[in-house]
Amino acid sequence: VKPAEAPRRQSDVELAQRAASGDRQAQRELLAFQRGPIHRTLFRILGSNRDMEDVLQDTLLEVFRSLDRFRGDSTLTRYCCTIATRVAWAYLDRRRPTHALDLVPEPISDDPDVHQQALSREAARRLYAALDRLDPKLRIAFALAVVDQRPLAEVAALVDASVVAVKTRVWRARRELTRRAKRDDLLATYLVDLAEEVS
Amino acid sequence: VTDDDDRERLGPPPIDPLPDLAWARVERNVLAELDGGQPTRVDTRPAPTGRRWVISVGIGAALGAAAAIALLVIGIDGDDAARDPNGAVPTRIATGDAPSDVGFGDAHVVVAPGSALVLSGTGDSGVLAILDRGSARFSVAPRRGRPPYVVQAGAVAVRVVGTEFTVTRDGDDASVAVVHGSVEVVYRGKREAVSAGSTWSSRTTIVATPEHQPEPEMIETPAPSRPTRPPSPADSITEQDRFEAAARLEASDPAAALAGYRELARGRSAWAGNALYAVGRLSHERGDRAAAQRALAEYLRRFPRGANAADAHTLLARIEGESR
Repeated sequence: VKPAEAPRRQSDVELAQRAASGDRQAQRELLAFQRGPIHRTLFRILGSNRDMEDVLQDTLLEVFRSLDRFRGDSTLTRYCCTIATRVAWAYLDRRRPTHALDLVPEPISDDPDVHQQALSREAARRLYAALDRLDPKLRIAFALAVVDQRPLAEVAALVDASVVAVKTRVWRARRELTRRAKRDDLLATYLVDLAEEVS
Repeated sequence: VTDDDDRERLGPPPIDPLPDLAWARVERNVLAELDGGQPTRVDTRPAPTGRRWVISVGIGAALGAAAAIALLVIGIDGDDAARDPNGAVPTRIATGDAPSDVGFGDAHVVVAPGSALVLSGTGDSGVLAILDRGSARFSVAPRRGRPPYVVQAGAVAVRVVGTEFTVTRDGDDASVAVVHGSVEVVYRGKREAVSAGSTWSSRTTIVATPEHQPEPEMIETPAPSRPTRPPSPADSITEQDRFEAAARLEASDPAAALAGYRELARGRSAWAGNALYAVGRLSHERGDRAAAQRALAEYLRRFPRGANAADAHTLLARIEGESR
């Protein structure tokens, strides 16, 4: 624990203990603080909000049920995101491949670069369609490390694997996606752009 | 997409926010599950009609006829998966060019043209009406002994005592005009009673007092709480309430959410720190890196050991990386 983080870890532990004991205000406080990071993690893994409510609900219940085991070894946010990753993994593992189309939100009209946003969204849609066909292990590693640009060490902590294992999963995912992108210029371009974002 | 090296790179897709009502639904279900109970049922049944307090002068039958055409009641996201396990959902009313006339709980609401209103809660536990935009006129039975009825318009909460009144929202501002009875307006932690014939506006936060004062016994009615959560011990809008209200607005009205966070960030409490960090986070999510950097830098200056200090450092570093 870094010195600067120590007070935070302490307050995290206190909040977790209060929430675990049934303190409703603490539970609400935890929800208010952690819902953003949890949603972000799940969104990056799942690629949309389509099934988000169910997965979120499962995640939050898991978080609350395991709070008494939180000892402050990591931040509460990291702890919650680890659980979110695990729940998403289980969800992807049992889910059948689907081809449902999500509604793309209407671009904000006053944005100076609406076209770029639309292109980015379409590219992301194709990326997640391709990720749908990958092993969830590869998908999660790629989504968190490449799409969300999290450090490999952080991803490794979230998926409870070594950095080398995560690096291998990302490499395998990228190889598979690149193979699938041979007939999809937009996806191919997107993969290159994402790689540049990471590097 | 071209091969031109000058083309703009496609970055990671933005995080689509989850609708605030979906958040409320998830939170409610999770807390209900923790309590070992069932998720709260949302009663969307219309209220009985024909009560003497329902219809006032000026709201004619023509509006009701027009409402039959204009009324659009949809489930959240129009998605079966978003429904409560028992099949009930909050009700969203969005009007076009004509007003809509609807009963909900023990109240009658006329939603003005070009407005959007979300109604949730039950007749037993109380009703929360969130005015997303525009204006709505409420005719509500006196609350003496009845469950609470609360109207929220941005940062303004109107706690109904028993009255007929209109709430109008204009961006971050809201105004309340009371026709009969009285209401209690809660804004920036202050509570003000607004009586018949008076108007109140968040722009001025001044009550234009009428000649007569509200009936004291109506004001003494216990202050209601929002229906989807237990009564607050403090019986007032706390900073946490204000933070959560801003958080709920992130999906539907991020500009209003930012305004709410900024207002809260002016204080010195822990919630001020949370709000300031939220300004940075939300600004970043909206692509306003400069505003995000300013807010996060201010957060680290004011709350160097705050709960979000580590995250603020991380986010700042990420923004600097994105700016290169």
